[in-house]
Amino acid sequence: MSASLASLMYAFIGLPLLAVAGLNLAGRRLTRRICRPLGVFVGLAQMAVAVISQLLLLQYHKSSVSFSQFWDMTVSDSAAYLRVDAFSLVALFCIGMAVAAAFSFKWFDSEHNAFNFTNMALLLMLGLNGAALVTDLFSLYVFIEIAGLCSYTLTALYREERGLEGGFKQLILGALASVLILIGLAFIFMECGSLRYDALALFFSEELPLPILDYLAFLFLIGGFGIKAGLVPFHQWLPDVYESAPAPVSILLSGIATQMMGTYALIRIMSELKGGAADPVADAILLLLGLITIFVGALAALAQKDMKRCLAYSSISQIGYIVLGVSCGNAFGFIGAMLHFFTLTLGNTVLFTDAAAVDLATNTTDMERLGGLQKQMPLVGVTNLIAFLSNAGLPPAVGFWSKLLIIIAVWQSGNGFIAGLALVAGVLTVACCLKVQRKVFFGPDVEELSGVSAPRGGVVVSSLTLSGLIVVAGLLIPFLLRMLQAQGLF
Amino acid sequence: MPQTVIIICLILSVVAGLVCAMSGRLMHAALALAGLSALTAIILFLFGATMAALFELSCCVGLVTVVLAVAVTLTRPDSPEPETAPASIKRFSVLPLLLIFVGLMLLIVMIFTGFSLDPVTASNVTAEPFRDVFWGTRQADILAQIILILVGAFSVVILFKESE
Repeated sequence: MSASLASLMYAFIGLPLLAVAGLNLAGRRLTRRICRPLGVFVGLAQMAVAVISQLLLLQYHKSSVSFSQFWDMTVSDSAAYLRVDAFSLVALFCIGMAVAAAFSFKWFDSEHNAFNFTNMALLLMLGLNGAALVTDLFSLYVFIEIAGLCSYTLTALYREERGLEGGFKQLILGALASVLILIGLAFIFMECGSLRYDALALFFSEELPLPILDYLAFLFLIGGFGIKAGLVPFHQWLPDVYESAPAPVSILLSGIATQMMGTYALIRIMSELKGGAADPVADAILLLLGLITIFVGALAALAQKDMKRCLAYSSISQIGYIVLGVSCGNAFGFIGAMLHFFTLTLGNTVLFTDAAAVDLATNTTDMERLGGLQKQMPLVGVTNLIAFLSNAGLPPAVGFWSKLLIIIAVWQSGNGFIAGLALVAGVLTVACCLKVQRKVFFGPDVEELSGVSAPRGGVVVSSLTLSGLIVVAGLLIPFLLRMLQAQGLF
Repeated sequence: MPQTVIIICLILSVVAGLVCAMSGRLMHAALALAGLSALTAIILFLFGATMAALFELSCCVGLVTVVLAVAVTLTRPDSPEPETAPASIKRFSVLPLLLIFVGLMLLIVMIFTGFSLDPVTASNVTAEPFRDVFWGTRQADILAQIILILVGAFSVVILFKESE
């Protein structure tokens, strides 16, 4: 069974790699025509493989499958360098979803840019998939660097001033984050002599109290991945990048790339490294950073005049919830963080797809110049509302369950007051939602926009499908949680 | 003796790094980068990481320097006048201070953790054959390196090639 399941896992590396190779080896005429369908196909195929893998894991009562070489699939868990478990499958599903959404509509006028975007987006996907699959902290760092490099190039794809500035900001802060992460990894390696997840879990469960070097390592890792995730006070680059990047790139970055490079790495490191050991210093720092991020992100979102900047700040606020869940160090916290990772990927993908739809129809995302679009694009208005309400944590959307779990986890960890504050902060997200709805879709009609026609095709289909998934996933969460419990996750 | 060499190499590498970042001329910066990589290779060698030193020497000192030198030479006719030295130094004047601050922080870490820069670590290096490590336990990194080369190549083409 392991061999057949492991062979299925190679699709996560093979699919994007073959797609890049095929795209560049195919004839020029064919290449330009297949960019979008290829991207959608690879994204959807990855989603399907992730779902099938999860079902197979459940069927065979396994919590994870390790795999290494094609020629030796019977490798032991301690020697394997790639592994999938429930969390990595959720991440892989989300990667596929964001990629499919980013390719779902025609954005690039020039075939040249569409071709370049396809190549870089598939390589970004490959980097993110690698980060989800590895069993070693150094390999995680290397794959995150690959994804980072792709996102700098994608942001500057048009080679215009704003895009280049956004890419450059990302590059500089990414380099700083890399230095911090490397120092953290070096400190951990000095103490443990290995960077494999299983070896580290063993070391951290036995080594109490932790040596001071490990606390420093945690600080450096939190700083490094905090920059990548856009945690306050390392968040300034994020709205600039989301705003300046082309719409499909914004979907990829906000939907999955930032999440994987920052929050996924943080959840993975804290859940793997701690191995059940109490680590109050790292927890307290994460708790504080998470709470500040929630409030600063939400308040800054309310002050924005551009739709994409508003969404960017709102997503920073949601990242704060994930960090809050991680800081609890209990099973509810990690499950809540994982679920909110999924919620945020879904929500952000829909919100930035809607922003793309508005941009396609009106050529602007400046909310001061928008208004009354509900008549022209009612479907976009509805999907935007569903995604926002999910991010705000209102039932029956999936965001309700993820926030509920996080708040329960914070309460259980003895921080009732902070749990209350996190609950209240949800109101700020609702306020942000109302602001966008009022300024863009309702409010007074704008004369220049009277002739605007609703976007059709992929952009609406993608947004509608994902909004449906938000509601369906919300309804199915109790069942999904039982499934994760059966896998021994909590 | 090796410890003295390592300390000298570390000081020289900081100087080379500063020249690389603060120089107003691209060619000087590329040469300083090559010097920095060579010094890193010496340090790696003294710590017993022979293969890493070899890779650092061949790739970073050799390949990267040649690529940078070729790129600088090819783009020279179109490039703007190089920055004058004082302007460049003024722009990056905070950098040495930042390095001194980082150095002090690391010194504090050393004092509190009892970590010492002892090349005796070289004797602790396991004698696991490089071939086994490279092909056996670091396969994910090999895959990542291949992808990284692809990403680098595409990035250069996208950002620097003249559009059709």
